[in-house]
Amino acid sequence: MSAGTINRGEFAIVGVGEPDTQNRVPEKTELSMGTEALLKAADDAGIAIKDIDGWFVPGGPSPNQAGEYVGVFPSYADGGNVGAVSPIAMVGHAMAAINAGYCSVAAVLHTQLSRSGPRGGGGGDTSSTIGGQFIAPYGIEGEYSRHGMVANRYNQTYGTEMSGFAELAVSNRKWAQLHPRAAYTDPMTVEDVLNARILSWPITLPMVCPVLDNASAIIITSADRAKDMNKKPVSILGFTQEFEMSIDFKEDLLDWEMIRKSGEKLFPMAGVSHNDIDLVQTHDCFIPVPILEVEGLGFCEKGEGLAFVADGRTAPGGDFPMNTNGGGLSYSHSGSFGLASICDTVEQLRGESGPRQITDANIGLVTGSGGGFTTNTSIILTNQ
Amino acid sequence: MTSEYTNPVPTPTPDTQNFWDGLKEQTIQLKRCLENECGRFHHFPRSICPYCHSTNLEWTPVSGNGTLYAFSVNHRPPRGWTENEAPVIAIVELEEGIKLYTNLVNPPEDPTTIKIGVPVEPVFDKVTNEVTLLRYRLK
Repeated sequence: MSAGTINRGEFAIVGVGEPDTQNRVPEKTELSMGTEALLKAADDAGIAIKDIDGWFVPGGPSPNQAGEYVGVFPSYADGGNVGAVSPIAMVGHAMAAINAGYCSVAAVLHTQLSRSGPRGGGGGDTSSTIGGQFIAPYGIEGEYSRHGMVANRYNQTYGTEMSGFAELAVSNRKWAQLHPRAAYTDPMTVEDVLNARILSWPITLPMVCPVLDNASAIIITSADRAKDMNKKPVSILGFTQEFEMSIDFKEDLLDWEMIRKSGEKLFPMAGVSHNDIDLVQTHDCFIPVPILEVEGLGFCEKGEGLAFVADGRTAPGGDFPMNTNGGGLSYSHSGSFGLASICDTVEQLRGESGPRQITDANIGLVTGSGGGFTTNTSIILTNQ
Repeated sequence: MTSEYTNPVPTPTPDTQNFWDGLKEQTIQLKRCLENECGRFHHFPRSICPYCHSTNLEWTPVSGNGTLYAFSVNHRPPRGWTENEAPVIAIVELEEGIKLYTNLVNPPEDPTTIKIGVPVEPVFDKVTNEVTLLRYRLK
């Protein structure tokens, strides 16, 4: 088999399952009904649930919600919404993912209580969702309130202070000041960040990304085709996507397994070491996250992240350039994130970043954590 | 007062009904795996053990005692929140190893002085005739 092709007969469906009862089942939840189907399919195939490393969950609950419920933390997932035929499309997605080596045992699961619901989330009354039952009644709202708990636990555990987190926001602002399309470019000091309006103590407003209009696009093709394109290609050296419990139900609020797993796989896959990385784009949606990302990916030890980025190391002119467009905090964040970071990295690797250009930028890493912080996905790019 | 409660309240599902029914009786019941090699509690309640994937589970009463794992003071609680201006939101780690979101009902005047790791005990807060929330008190 040559890379990038899927030959007929190379894949097979090896198990099927449906719940005992369906159609009108108010005694079930979407996720309990889906679990029934999944267990039967796994039994039919003679596999254990833990063997599943590819997870395709179209419609109904997201792959993240379904994975967290069942306890499936795959290395590849897709909830791609391409309309009513999504479950069929997922068969193709699963083959592609297996062919690419991202996973080896794929489960496609669809479950939706369209008659007896809603219980899976979405619009309207959400009081029966997991969040509606176990989170909202306690006045926990928005990701910032979770990150208030993360930041406070971080400081009490490691003896650090919020000024360290605030400095990271200031460094990102300095990059944004060099970017013509950045949202926020006013001068900002550590004191400004610390003294700003408190959202969820100790998190203040400048430590939380805004939600803005933002669009980005990239074109990907094979290395062969890329040779004939306009510009020198930027190669993808590695890709990971890892899952675990959400921020609401993590084993360890300061050591996110999904980031650690990403790092453990990404560098060997890309054939580079941490010292080879010239720039890093993190997901600075909430100020503790980039710190947990640089620690989890292995750039420094747990608890050393703030010291690692201190003294302007990540700002323009620093020796560990990070979020070189200003990041989600100062450049742009639409609620989704990452594509603009990839665009920015590609421009850096092509030497097109003008006043923000890093000298000798050859290898860049883009990482992002999201989906209720059930997942981290990371890539390494190079101009070589 | 209970009829006036306007903050978000949970609507139980078949997966969680026993948990919420238990709180009304001032008991805390968690789902526990009955497989010998696993035996772990989990939370939120599911129809499958998220650790070993067994469906051999049992609702098991627990004391609810634990320690404060994390907390924050939420100055921007959900829209329509009327109970208090800035609730102390928290994660409590139970003796059984599971963690759950809650509120601290007796924070000191300056809640930022609270230290994580301190012992806490459950408070059964009957907010409506239908709903009792599981809140926590610093011991």
